[in-house]
Amino acid sequence: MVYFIRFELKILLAIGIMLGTILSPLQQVFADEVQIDPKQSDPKQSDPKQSDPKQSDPKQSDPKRVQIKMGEYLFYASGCQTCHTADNGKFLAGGRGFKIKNQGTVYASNITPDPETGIGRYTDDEFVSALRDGVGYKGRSLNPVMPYSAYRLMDRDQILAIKAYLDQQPAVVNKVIKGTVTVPAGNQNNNTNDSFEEDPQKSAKWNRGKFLVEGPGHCASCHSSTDGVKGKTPDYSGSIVNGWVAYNISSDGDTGIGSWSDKDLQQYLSKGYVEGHGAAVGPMAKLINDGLSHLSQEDIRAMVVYLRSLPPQEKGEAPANIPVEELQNTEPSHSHGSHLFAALCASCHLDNGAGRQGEYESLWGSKTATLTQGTNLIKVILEGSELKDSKLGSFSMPGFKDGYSDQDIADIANYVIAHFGNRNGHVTVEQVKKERALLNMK
Amino acid sequence: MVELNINNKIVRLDVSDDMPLLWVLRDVMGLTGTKYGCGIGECGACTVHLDGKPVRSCSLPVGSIGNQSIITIEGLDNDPIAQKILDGWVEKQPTQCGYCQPGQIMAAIALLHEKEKPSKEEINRALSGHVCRCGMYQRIRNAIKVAVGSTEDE
Ligand code: FES
Ligand code: FES
Repeated sequence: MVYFIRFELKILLAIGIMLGTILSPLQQVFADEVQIDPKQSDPKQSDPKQSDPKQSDPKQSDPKRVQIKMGEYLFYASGCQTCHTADNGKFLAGGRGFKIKNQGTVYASNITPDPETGIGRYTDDEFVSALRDGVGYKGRSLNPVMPYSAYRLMDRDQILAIKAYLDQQPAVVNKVIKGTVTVPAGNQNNNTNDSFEEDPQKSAKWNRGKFLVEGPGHCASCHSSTDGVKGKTPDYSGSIVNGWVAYNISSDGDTGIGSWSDKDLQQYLSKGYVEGHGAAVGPMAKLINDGLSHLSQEDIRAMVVYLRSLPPQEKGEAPANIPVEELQNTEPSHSHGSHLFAALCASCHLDNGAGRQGEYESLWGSKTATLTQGTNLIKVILEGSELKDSKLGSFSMPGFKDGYSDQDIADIANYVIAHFGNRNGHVTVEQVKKERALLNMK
Repeated sequence: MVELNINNKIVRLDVSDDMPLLWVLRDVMGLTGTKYGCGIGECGACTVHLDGKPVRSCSLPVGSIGNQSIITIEGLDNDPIAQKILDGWVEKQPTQCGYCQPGQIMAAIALLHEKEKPSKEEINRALSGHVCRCGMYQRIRNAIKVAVGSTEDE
């Protein structure tokens, strides 16, 4: 982590090199500043056994502690942080905006225990009905962008465990601005406890997976356009959320995840990358960093078992699957985009997309790199991406929005699609301009 | 504790897994031939060989290296190509301030291990991620050409 925080400083240093400035003294300063004490590791990354509630330590079996531990785990499984922490914002203090099609923008609320601007005044009942029925403090209806219909699968004890965990977090005073969408009071406080019901016909693993995927994980919120549409079950065939394409995760062999191996899917969900399918970017990368990467391998396996059982839906474009050996032998292109790729991207991703230092840099076979509209691709090139690894720190890609024109970015994107996908990319300068404007608004 | 194979010696170091190799080389091992330019994988100054492949040591956490062999600019004694590159460098003098050079040289050597006689385009591609603030690109390319025995000049 230390290294990523230094990121901006390093950019400055990089500029320093270009200008041919006095480098050695500067370098000295940085070398002095980076104090690395191997023993002072991040407390969050401490011994995983400590998070095992079954530990015999008397302190660990204190019911309050057990509840908080359970709440923390469900908090990760629910991905609360991904929406409720804004870019560069304080932990859980809200403020991230969500554009709702044809309606306006909703801002995620402050869920720290601050009584004025957070959820400090919520009673247990109010918190439970907010998460399960979408009826919040003093009976106010929540916008369905908050996936309460999924969280409903958690029972009262589970929801209150999340509250117990949230109550332990530092209170942050942050009044979140009011969104432009008014939610009509329509949600009903049912006060029932009809949570997840196991299907006795299916395996325990499948049931656990279903609970995680449809409940706290709320995968359908992004990966299904039918989610929340009355009377329709989610089909997991993908959707567009906040301008990002959430890919088809049904079991279709071409357009979904049907052709992924179990092992690949499992690694992708817990680490965010796997050779042959590329790396997660945007909101999915965040969700993996903040949530899924904290789940046990057993639970991730259960999610895979359930995802596999989703009926195939052939929708959207399939990724191209040109392996490294073939990419290795392609004739070098002389396009502007290919030169920019060689100069900016290949130093990490390599020309053949194998990745210079590790799997997390591999590009071949990825949807982001090969879908012809390049929707997610432009966003990543402009704003970069980051994946966190509990052991190895952070793998980050810098954004290239500064210093490169809309034409440059479009050329890189179209080259990437052509090279890794053997298809014509449809990225236009206008599209890049639009994305850039959105970024500047943030 | 991390065990690394640096310049054909096994060393055991008390460093954390997420420390970039460059820090280990320069600050822990004192191998300062490898340079720190940007720290984010964009300039190539920190390039070393990992199992013969050029990598950016600034963005390579040591915990991910395992038993792969690390060769730095200090560890080229027994590399036959290194001598050829040296000859090319002496003849064409592609060095001005020199800061980028360890990285350029490591990339050039790795390229020649893979391709005996790379074309101009192949040289350009292999070294394209290496930034030289002194703008010595053409001379570097010429020096590599001398190293492979090519007589054509630009
Ligand atoms: S210092 Fe490693 S690439 Fe610049
Ligand atoms: S010789 Fe000065 S940076 Fe390359």
